[in-house]
Amino acid sequence: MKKTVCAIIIAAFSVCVWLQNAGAEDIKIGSILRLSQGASDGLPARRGVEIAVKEINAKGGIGGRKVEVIFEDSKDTDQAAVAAFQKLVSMDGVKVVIGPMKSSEVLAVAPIAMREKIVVITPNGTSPKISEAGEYVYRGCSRIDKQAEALTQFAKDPMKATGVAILYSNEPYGKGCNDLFTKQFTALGIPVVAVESFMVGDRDFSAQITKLKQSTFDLLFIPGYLQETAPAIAQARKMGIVAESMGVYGDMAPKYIELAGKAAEGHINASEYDEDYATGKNKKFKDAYYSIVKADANEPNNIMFAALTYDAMGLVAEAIAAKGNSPDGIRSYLDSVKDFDGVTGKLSFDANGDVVKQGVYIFKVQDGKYVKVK
Amino acid sequence: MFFQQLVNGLVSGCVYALIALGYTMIFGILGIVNFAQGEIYMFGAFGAVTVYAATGSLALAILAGLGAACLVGVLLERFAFRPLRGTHPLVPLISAIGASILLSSLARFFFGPEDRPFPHEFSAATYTVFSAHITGMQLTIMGISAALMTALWLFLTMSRHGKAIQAVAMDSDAARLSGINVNRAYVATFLSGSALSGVAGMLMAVYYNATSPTMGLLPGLKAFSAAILGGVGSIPGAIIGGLVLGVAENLGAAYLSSNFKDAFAFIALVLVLIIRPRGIMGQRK
Repeated sequence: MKKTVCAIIIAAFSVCVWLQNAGAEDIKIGSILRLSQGASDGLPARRGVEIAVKEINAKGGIGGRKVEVIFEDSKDTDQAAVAAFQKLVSMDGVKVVIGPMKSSEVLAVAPIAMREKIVVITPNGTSPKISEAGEYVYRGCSRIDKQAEALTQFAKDPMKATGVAILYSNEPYGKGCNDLFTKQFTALGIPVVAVESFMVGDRDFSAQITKLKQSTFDLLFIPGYLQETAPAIAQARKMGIVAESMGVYGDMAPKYIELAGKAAEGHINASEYDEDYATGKNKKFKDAYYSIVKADANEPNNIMFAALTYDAMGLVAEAIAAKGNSPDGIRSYLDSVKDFDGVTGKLSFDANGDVVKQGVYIFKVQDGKYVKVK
Repeated sequence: MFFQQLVNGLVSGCVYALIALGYTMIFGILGIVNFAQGEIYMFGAFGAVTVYAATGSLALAILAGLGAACLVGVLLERFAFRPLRGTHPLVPLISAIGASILLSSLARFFFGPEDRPFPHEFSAATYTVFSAHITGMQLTIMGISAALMTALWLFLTMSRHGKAIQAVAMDSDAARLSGINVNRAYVATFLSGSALSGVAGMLMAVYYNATSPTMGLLPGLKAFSAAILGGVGSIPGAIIGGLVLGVAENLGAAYLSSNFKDAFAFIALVLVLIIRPRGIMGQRK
């Protein structure tokens, strides 16, 4: 008797499992984002993926199968990003991963992605090295040198800068920007007259600014993350520096203006995303994102990071719909896609897996708001 | 530029000194290092920022900041240190590190991961002294720090509670035998130490215009070094240590390289300890 009951239960269970496998199993997609350290950038990125997934599933998923995204935390270390990647590939069996967000993490993950033949799309790793990381590695934002070109050109014309002082964040990102921008400023005939640096976590920049004040310059360039760059410009203004200010992607957030206050006025920086990009898709995305931000006072607000992952997720969904959920299918779609209708522009990929689109936007802070100037 | 850098150094030194006083008082009386001192500083800042944002009243904000810092300090004493009294000194040290992680995680949970600006911008009046520009805010920081240090000295030497603290610091058993409530002295120590750190946190919330769950980490570490530099357990030592550290890192950044600004603080620490292992004002035991 007992044996029969057991047999029936086991049989029923097997049928369930079989049915589940045969039926509409969810399509699993991995995502490695900055969910604890750097969560002010990582949470918006997560929302971008979630908004895209919600839209896809509301339309019935991909080929009748729902999409499920498994999020992992990169904890801002390469080791954690690699561990997360291995877990996603071996435990969850994902074929494509959106993330990681930092260049060093992307470069750490890339060799494993190549070995396992898993597609990686980084939404905002800007290092030029990612171009050579392998044919399974794609990126959805412009390389840092494109950004540098756009900003330094803008400094020459229309800003007509004659001397620049650099105050950089002393970690790979800020230091890389310092080296690259110094080269480009010099190439354009704008001399770099003074260079100082600060550490991540610093809130007192008075020593560096006092030193900068010994030189004459009409442009102050502060590459780094807004947690430092916003108080830095605020202190520079308080200490009487009147030069124009310029920053990199990290400053492109309402938080920057909130933290820097009046000192943010006139700040120039570059962005991958234009909120006023006039497509129906962008309007829907914006509404969805801001309704999430408004619902929770502690929700960090940075629509650029959400837009980048939203497009990455949209591309992945299209790729799977067109070529099936296999790494090589996704690759062949990404390699051949032309003018994908994304919220960050019309997207295609070049032979290195870098996104091709209309270019980098330049924004300026006017009356407490970022206004597109180019 | 020298005077300007000196002023910059004195301002950050005042903040290190205020936090270092908390370290040194707690070490003096309990013989333990309270590594959660930086988190008390952080809670002081958050108390003031959230209440100011809600009510717009500076008086209420200051009260809230003080209250939050003191509450955290007293809770630490009651739950992280008192149950471990009499154990090996490493045990409360670990407990303090754990409390520090817990407190910054709690802050991230309640206040979110992002930096918060202070909801009000204070006037940016500047005064020129010896070719150095000093802002009203910098003067306020130095003034309040000096006033608090004087108040602390008066409290410790003039009041009954202060004398009790000193007695317990010298010999807790003898103090107990002569009728001093030792537990009350411990609580008074944590209260005054936390209040000083809380004030430092509030001043910095306004000065740097950025309050975040991790803001206490680096100032906490530097203040700890300041306390050691000045001679741990010595009140004037903590003040001198804080100022020396602040000035050393600013002058180092100014005349050597700002790449190593934090390193100069610790180089100063190592140099002093090599020449004078007990710290500038430390007592020979």
